[in-house]
Amino acid sequence: MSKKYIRIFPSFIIVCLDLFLMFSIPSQVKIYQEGIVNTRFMPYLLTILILICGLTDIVKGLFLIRREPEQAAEEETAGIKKSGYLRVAAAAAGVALWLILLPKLGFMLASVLLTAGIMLLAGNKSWIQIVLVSLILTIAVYCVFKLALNLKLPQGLFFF
Amino acid sequence: MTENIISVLSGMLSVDVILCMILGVAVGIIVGALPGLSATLAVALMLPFTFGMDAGAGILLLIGAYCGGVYGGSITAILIRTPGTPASVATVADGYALTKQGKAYEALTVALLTSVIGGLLSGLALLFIAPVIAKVAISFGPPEYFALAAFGLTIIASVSGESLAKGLIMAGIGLLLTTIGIDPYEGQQRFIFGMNFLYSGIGMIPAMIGVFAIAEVFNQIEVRIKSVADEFGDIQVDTKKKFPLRRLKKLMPNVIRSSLTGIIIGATPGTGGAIASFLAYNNEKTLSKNPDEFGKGSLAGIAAAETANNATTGATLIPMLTLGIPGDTVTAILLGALTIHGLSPGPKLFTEHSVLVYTVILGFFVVNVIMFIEGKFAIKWFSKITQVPSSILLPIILLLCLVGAYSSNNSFISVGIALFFGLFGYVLSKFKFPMAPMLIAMVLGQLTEMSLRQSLIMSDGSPSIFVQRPISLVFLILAVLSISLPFIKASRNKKGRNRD
Repeated sequence: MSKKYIRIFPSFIIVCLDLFLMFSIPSQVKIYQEGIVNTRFMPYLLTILILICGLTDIVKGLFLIRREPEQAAEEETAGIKKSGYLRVAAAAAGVALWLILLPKLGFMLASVLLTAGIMLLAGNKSWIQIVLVSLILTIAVYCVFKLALNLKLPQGLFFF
Repeated sequence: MTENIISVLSGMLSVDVILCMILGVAVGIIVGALPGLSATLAVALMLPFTFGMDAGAGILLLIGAYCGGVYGGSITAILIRTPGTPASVATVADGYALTKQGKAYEALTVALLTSVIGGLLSGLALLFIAPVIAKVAISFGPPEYFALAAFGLTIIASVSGESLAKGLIMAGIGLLLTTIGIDPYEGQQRFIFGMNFLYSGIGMIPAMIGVFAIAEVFNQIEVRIKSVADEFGDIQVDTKKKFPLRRLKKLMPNVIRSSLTGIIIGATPGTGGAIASFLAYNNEKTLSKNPDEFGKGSLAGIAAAETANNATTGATLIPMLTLGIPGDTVTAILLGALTIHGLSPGPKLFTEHSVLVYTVILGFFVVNVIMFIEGKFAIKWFSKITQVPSSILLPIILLLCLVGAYSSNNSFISVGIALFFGLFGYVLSKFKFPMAPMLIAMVLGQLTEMSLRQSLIMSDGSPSIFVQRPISLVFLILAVLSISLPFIKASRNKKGRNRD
């Protein structure tokens, strides 16, 4: 896809998802009684609203691209850096992994690993800081939530 | 009211409630002082800690974070020309000019004193105006509630940023999200797609934590700054200099006028501290004998901006507590917190949970006093806050967010939802989709749908029921005005520019 069309890409995806939801209403939203004001009333109303606004935004974006193609592309891609995106993707993957490992490894171990990973992604290169902060933070959060607020945190392999 | 106040005072003096307020204010000031991290994030961060608490203590913890966050924004605005929150943008020019002149302590002291006075005066407005509105609102039926919710949703027009279409898309998504799960009116399932966890709907707390806190962590990881103070070096605040109180006396007329501006703006849904501070700043500049000093290190400028933005804090609670309408994102989170504690905000709150309501109102005064004490002691440490490396701050925020999302209902699904909304908020905000409309719509979604359906069933499907009842009609007129005013203003500005 050409860089200049990035501007309308999210609205296009939203419109597609909205259409999918709109057409899935008959199968996904059960009704108890026929009539205008039933369970399907709001879903239809809202999907129509999103569709109209999404198409408006796409049309507006296309006009902008036609009028000032370079400016539109620059505006939308300003501040986008590939390395930055990769770091965010890695952080999100780290959280997802934390979520998967939490029941197996337990809160303490999984959280120490996540904290250390996020510190590395945020640019910390001091191993002493990484080890100390990961340990202290995890223990502090564990104490506050588990011991003080009595929250049931997953125990995992090592029972903490 | 007097009986309620007396019974509340005895309960509020307990150590745990006071500790909650102290903690809330401290976290609010620290988070608010860090550029990019707003009062909303401070409140979202503190939210999970309130789950196991008594409702009053929990709400006061959040109000502490809210007030502290709004005040905290002024610190970096003054010291390093970087406003911690949008509400402190008006403070930047005068505050930083004073710092360059070696008068940082004076600027910080005026900001603290006027913030506290603004907060206390807005607390008075909350104490005396809120019960009156609640008394009127008790007679509301479904049509009035729908009209009210519609008026509340028009806030979206003012928080949509550059594009109303994008704001409406986000609001539509927010409302659509509230329809997922079991329909509370007919008990039918909606948009489950075979995923059992969707039966209970999308949790508002994980969504809020994701959109506001996790998305912000992702943003900070993307830009990867070392620390806020990195480019500004070490800033010294000379606390040995005394600030004479007679100088504050001179500023008092300014403070009173700016408080009134803040209270009126704060009580109007969809506005907020940033608008109030700019209005008050411009107003004082117009009234000043030395308008040229504004922007070059004027204490009157700092006083106007800081008084007004803190005066909105109590005022935004008026529509929230009396009508269940969030005026901004912070009050939307506070509404969510009340719901978690099994309380439904609105006029009935004043009759069914009057002790809690007065605990919150009176606690608001105590929070402002605590803010003064903490601020006074911490002024010399303020410059150090900005030196905390982001690489230490970000994992702290992220881990608290994840555990917070988990603790909302002891479920890993909630963490998944928070992560999803974090990515959703991060990606869409890159394309200038505003997040506030979605959150406001999520808060108002169920009220809007239920009252609309109940009203139409009452009138056999005729929408005329909304204009036949006077209160409902008034709210609908207000809603139309609220939607059309930005367009009228924009068209006038365009005409003005064309004429020039």
